[in-house]
Amino acid sequence: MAFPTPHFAVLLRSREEFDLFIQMKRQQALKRVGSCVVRLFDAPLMVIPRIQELQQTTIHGTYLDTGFRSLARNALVFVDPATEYLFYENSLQEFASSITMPKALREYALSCARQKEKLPPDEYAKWKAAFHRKFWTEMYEDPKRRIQLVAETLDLELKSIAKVTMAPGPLIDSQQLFATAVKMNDVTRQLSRTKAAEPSTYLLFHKRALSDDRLMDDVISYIEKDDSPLTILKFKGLDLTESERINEREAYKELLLQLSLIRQKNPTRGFALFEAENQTFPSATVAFDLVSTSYTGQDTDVGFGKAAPYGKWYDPKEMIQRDFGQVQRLMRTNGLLPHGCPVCRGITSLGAITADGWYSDRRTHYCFCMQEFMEIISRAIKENNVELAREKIVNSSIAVLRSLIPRA
Amino acid sequence: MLTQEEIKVLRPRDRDSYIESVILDILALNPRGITVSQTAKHTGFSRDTVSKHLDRLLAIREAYKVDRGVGVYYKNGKVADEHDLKLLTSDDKTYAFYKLVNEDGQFIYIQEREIDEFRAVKVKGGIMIGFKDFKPFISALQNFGLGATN
Repeated sequence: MAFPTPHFAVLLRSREEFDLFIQMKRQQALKRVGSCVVRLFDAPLMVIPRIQELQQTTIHGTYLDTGFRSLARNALVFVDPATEYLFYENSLQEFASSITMPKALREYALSCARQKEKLPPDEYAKWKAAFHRKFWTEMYEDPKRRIQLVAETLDLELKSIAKVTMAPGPLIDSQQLFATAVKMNDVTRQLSRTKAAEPSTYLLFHKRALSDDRLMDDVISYIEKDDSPLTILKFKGLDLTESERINEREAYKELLLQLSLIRQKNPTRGFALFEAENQTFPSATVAFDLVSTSYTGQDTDVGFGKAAPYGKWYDPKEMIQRDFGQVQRLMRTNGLLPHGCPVCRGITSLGAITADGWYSDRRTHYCFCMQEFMEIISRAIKENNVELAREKIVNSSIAVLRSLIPRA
Repeated sequence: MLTQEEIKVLRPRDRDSYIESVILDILALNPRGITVSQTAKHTGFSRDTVSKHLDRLLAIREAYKVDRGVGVYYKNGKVADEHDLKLLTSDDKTYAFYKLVNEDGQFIYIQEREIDEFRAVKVKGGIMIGFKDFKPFISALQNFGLGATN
């Protein structure tokens, strides 16, 4: 499926966000925000219940034009196996929430729940780290378990209208786990051959992987030789704006450079970055065709969501999140929100805005910001003027990331 | 390619479609044709398995066979152009149209495809019509179709 590059995909983490995305796609012209990412464990609640809409017809026998139908037909939908949550506690139990989840993942989550009840926290943490390694070692060694996990994951991805298949794999922080991820990807691509979806290579990294030079060299060399049309990377929880991340910034810069060289040599190759966080803009400028963050740009997992009624607003000039109090102060100073998107122009008083209204407004506003960013990058690429994109970062609060964009 | 160990543990529906896709790749890589034995040797699949799948590929016109004593199989041709027709009455069924070129000439190949609930593409059937026969074929189809739908 073709999409204009650079392109932005929204990670949708709840039914409300899924419905909002469908509504937003119907109402707003956001050419470069046409894709979405749904986590595998969210799919049984968010997507599957709506599948029957695809068969609804009018009395004239033609298909009913529902927003979901249009999304299924026209949008690039990724269903991310999100297996990093086998490692992190947050959302781990979601894998046990539905019988449609792959059996191995369901059993993994149930085992963890049982041990968590039995063991004291520090012992549970040790047990879980060992259990995680054992799980992926078995996947590497046992073809039956490997094939079963991949086949069941693909079933759920494809039932959930995925247009690209993604491999379930470990959170890579060592050569051994990287070898497992490669194997899982090979099997996934082979089993995707006859499916109505594009195959991809998906590598999910622990943020400390960037500090391992040998591992990153192997990763780059693998990506270079790999013939997958789309390579998807995710660096879980990586925020390169943190001051102590000097070495990681250097390593990430090198990665971007290498990916852009690979694409120069082979223009049919595409790269996507999931949960890109603060790296969204520089990554799309240098190497990635598609970048994705959550609907608010805050990819960090938090224990609340809609429960925090007035969440943060994305400041596109500073390229950071501002809390509601700061936004109120900005509004008092300027009389309007300092952004020209239809959402911000439509807000004349924050006092009158409801929590539900703010919930959808700040998310739609964020997508308009991403649309603008992708347009800036596209213009910079077209005009061969990288300074245009670099300037945007230099004048923001994440100026430390300017080094990721090489000077012309 | 998957290892023999991996293929063995595939679910039957995955195994069949996987093996068929591998055989199709082998046919495409061998424009001068390939026998059952050669295919079995290249893939590691048994002769029976290869024969069974080649028979199905023949039935849906993805392959054709020339009998030179041992039976040589060919991919149905090199694709010169292609087009998909989505039907008004079903999202899960499509017809794919191909212009094919092979050593016997040029052909129109129409393939009937279905997508199952797991979005696996199944080729249900196919028909190949030589360029020379195309016009009379269409006029016969039109007459027949109009008669049937009026």
